[in-house]
Amino acid sequence: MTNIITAKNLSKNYGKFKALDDISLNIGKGKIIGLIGPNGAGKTTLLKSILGLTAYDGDLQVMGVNPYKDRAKLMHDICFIADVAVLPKWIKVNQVLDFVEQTHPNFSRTKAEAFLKKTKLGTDQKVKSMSKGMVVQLHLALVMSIEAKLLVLDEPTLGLDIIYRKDFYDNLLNDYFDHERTIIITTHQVEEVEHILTDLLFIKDGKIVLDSNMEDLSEEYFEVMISADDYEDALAFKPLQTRKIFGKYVMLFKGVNRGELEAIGEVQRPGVADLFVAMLKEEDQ
Amino acid sequence: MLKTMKALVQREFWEHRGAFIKTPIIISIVFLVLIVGGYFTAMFFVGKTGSEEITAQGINELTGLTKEQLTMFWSGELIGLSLLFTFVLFIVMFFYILGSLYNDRKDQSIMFWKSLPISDVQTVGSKLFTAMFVVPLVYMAVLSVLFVIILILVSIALLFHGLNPIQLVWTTIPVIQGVGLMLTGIFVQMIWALPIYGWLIFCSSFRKRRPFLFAVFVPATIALAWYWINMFSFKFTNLSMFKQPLLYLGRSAFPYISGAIDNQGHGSFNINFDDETVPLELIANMLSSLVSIQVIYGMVFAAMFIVASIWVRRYRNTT
Repeated sequence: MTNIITAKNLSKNYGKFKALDDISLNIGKGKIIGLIGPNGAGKTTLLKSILGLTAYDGDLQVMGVNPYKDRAKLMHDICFIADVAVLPKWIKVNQVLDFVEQTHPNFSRTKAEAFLKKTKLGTDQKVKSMSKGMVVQLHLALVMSIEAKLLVLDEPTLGLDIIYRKDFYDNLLNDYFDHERTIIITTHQVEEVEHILTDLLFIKDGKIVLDSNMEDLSEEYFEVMISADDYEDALAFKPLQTRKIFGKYVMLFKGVNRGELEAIGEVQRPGVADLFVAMLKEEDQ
Repeated sequence: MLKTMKALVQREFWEHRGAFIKTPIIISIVFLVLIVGGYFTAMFFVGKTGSEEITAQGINELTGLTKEQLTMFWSGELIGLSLLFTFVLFIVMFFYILGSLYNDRKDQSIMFWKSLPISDVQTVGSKLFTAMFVVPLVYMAVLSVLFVIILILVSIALLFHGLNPIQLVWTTIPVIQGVGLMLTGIFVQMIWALPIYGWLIFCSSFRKRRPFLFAVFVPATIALAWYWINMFSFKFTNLSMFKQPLLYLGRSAFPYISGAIDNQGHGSFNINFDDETVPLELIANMLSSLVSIQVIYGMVFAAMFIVASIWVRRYRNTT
């Protein structure tokens, strides 16, 4: 498998604060990675390092390139979005198409125009006159028409209505993603992306606390709904976390035999958000 | 590379259409309205008072002028208009550069621009290139069109009074001298303004807010502090820290008279206004002002701040 990103002992300090603390990781081609972590955990710093926007200690290769030294070159093959709802206010649709066409060698104008045809956007319309949702459509049309090997999304749907957020990820998965491409997403709304992720990266205090693909995860972690009667039995399996819902208990287990758990309750794959919360608590103990 | 640069300059024109294209056109229109309005007002009073002899006397004087005198007259017109245009250009460029690396941070679109395969050297370079070459050429092109329109209007008026515009206008225009003057003006203005542009673009990339206040008050404060320190050694007249920036500012705003005062503050405007080669003399005077250590200081100063602004844009303006 080809690695798109290879990091070895990656660190970044802001004074005494360790934003990235000796991170090593490999990200392969064709993955959709969810980079999840609490505020200040180092998500944005990691993304910035990958995009060549910040200096770091250690070794980092993005598609064989040192991102810090060759940022402009790297941008041929990377596409990144910090916030889909922000494009320059004064620009018109056909101007932004012209500009990206002139400056980005891997941009297909035909594709972008095809995407835009499905929307209500006029070619002469200024960003200033668009609703937030329309700006998202325009930005998406641009991004999806760039033949990039790596797409980095940093909280792309922050501040958007739920309809646009859902459309955004659906379009991304259906019209853009193929197994030649890699996507990294950070978001606070984990529930909205977890169905499209192939891999998870949990980051906390500058360290990777979980690096796993979704399949392994569902073989290792189980969420079990347990009635009050079986509560005592279930505790024997040492749940990572217990929640009480409508008089029943929802417990999260790690590395327990699935058959044994099925005997005491209904077994499901845990939600990423619950898993994340549980893992953070586990770390703290 | 060239394609990217073209797109970057085009981008600046999209964003600043009003300042780059509409402004000189509006000035031209206002000017034309004033000329035509003035003509008709004059003709109105001539008609009312019936003093046809004033007109006749005017015509008489006009036809009595030599070709050299007419050339001198048109040169004067051109120089006057150019002075106005280069001054407006400098003001417009001042604010354009001050916003050039600041506006996209304020409206948060910087990450969009940074997501394209364009280096920060290209970005900063395109803004300076636009300010130093492209917009000045646009202004001079509009000025040339304005001048031609004026000539046409004057010709029509002359025909109306039974005079020959070919003899009085079209064979007396110092075309080559005029074009040379405008191009030299752009060049000289660029040289003197470069340190100012360098400082402004640095403020533009460096400041988180209100780049204008920083750009103006920091130099003013330094100059005041310098003056104050000098007071303690009883040098009450040491105004050099005020004089030098003002000298650069003045020469940038009025490049045509940049040779009028030399660096010691003595007048060196040895131009003979009584012949038809005024534009040539002005060109020579402007160029002679460039033979100065101050140009070198200016270049070094500009280079320092331009490099600093690229560095800030590259490594600090990342959110």
